[in-house]
Amino acid sequence: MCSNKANLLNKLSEAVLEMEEDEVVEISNEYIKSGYPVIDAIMDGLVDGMNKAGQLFEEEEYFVTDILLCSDAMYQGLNILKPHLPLEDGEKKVKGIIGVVEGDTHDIGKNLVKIMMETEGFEMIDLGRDVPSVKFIEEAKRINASFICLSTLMTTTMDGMKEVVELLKENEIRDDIKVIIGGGPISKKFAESIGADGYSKNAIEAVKLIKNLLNVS
Amino acid sequence: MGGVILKTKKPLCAYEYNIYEKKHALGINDLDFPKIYSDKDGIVTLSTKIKEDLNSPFCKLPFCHTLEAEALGGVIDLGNSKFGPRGKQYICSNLEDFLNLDMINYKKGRIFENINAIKSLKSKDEKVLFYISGPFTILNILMDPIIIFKAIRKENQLIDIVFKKIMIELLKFIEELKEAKVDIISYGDPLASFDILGRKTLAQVVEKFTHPFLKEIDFNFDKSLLFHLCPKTTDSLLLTDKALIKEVITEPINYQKACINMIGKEKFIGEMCINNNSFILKNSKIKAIKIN
Repeated sequence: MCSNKANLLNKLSEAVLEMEEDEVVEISNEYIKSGYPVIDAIMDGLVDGMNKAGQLFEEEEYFVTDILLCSDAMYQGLNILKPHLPLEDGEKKVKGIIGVVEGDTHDIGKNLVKIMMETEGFEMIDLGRDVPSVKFIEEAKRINASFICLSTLMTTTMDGMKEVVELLKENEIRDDIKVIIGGGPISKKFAESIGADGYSKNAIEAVKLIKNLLNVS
Repeated sequence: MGGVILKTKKPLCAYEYNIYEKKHALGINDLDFPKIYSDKDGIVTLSTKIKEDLNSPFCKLPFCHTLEAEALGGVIDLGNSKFGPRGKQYICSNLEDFLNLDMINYKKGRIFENINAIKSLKSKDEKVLFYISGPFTILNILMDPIIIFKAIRKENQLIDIVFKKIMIELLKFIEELKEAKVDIISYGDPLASFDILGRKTLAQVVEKFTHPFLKEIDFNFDKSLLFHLCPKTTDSLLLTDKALIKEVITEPINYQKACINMIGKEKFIGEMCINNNSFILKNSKIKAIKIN
């Protein structure tokens, strides 16, 4: 039985890594029927595959499109497995807000960061793209967010990031929320100039940065 | 970040013009928007003012990368002085939806107004550069890009048909621009870059679209204009051995002016972002691109 479970988990991880969403669905359904703990399929199957993909991304073997397709396969598996999870034991996830600032609709990078954050166990509220600055604040207050991730690919919309930081100050919640930024024209220097807590050049770095800032493992 | 082969040191897409920051200098106010983006006279006025502000050798149109997608039926937020036109919501759930969209009608909408703006500018002896967008930029406005990436990986025949439709549309658009007497057509598709697609997928895209598209333009070339390539596109061609660089002697001048000088002499130029108006060709050479 153990080797069958290990076999299924290995196949699930490989299917995510190979972007084979049909296989992920098939194996997930087979796993459910087997009766093994669902959380193991998620963590040691799906997330394991996603982490391997992340590793290949860091090594520049996988690229943005590969990660998006791997995540698509992972989410297909999650859709099947999650409803079979036992009721949550009260462990609260760290919550983050993510979005592309107003005026910009390029969201591939943002989607990548969201995927990697969720893979690491953060609960992400995705505001989408072209998001007015005030919306970040409203949502951060509503869900009691610990951090905000801002993304843009355009120089003409970068000021929106500064606006978010300023609005957090005006609402007297700046000290409660970490702000990290990223995107094509963004730099560490720009992050410092607007008072953000950090800049990350890619999705993998974003996860490490937030973990560091929030002091979580 | 820069070109993989061209090895440009500065970020390739860092030369956008901020209309909002410059509106006082341009003598325009918030009430002029969004009409100024969509009305022939407004387009002419704004592009002329920007050209003067930048001391650029040409007027640049359009002010966004949404024209083609909008003309295909895309829903666009025309924006304001602060944020220009951009996609508002997806209209396609899959590639079949895209294939069912009507062909572009060049006699209506913002695309019509922009083409008329070119004619108006040309009647005032202005040089005009016009941007056209590639398949990923167009499709990204109409649908979730994951649909496209999946299709490239798993639905070869379908993506071929999609690329064919886009190629037909863009070649027709180029004919319209030629008729309007545009001086430079600048082609770019930033999402179809090495950073995002990776080598394998990039090679497929170049094979299926970029190379045959540019070969078609090469074959039917009109010497009255220059075809400028975004350096990311140039890079993708060089990485896949679909093009060669030929250094052409010019003068130690601004890249934009050098491009104007290449009209009628070379077909394709593409070593720097055409928006970069501070790049000087210090070694008096410009890189022409020869499509293999």
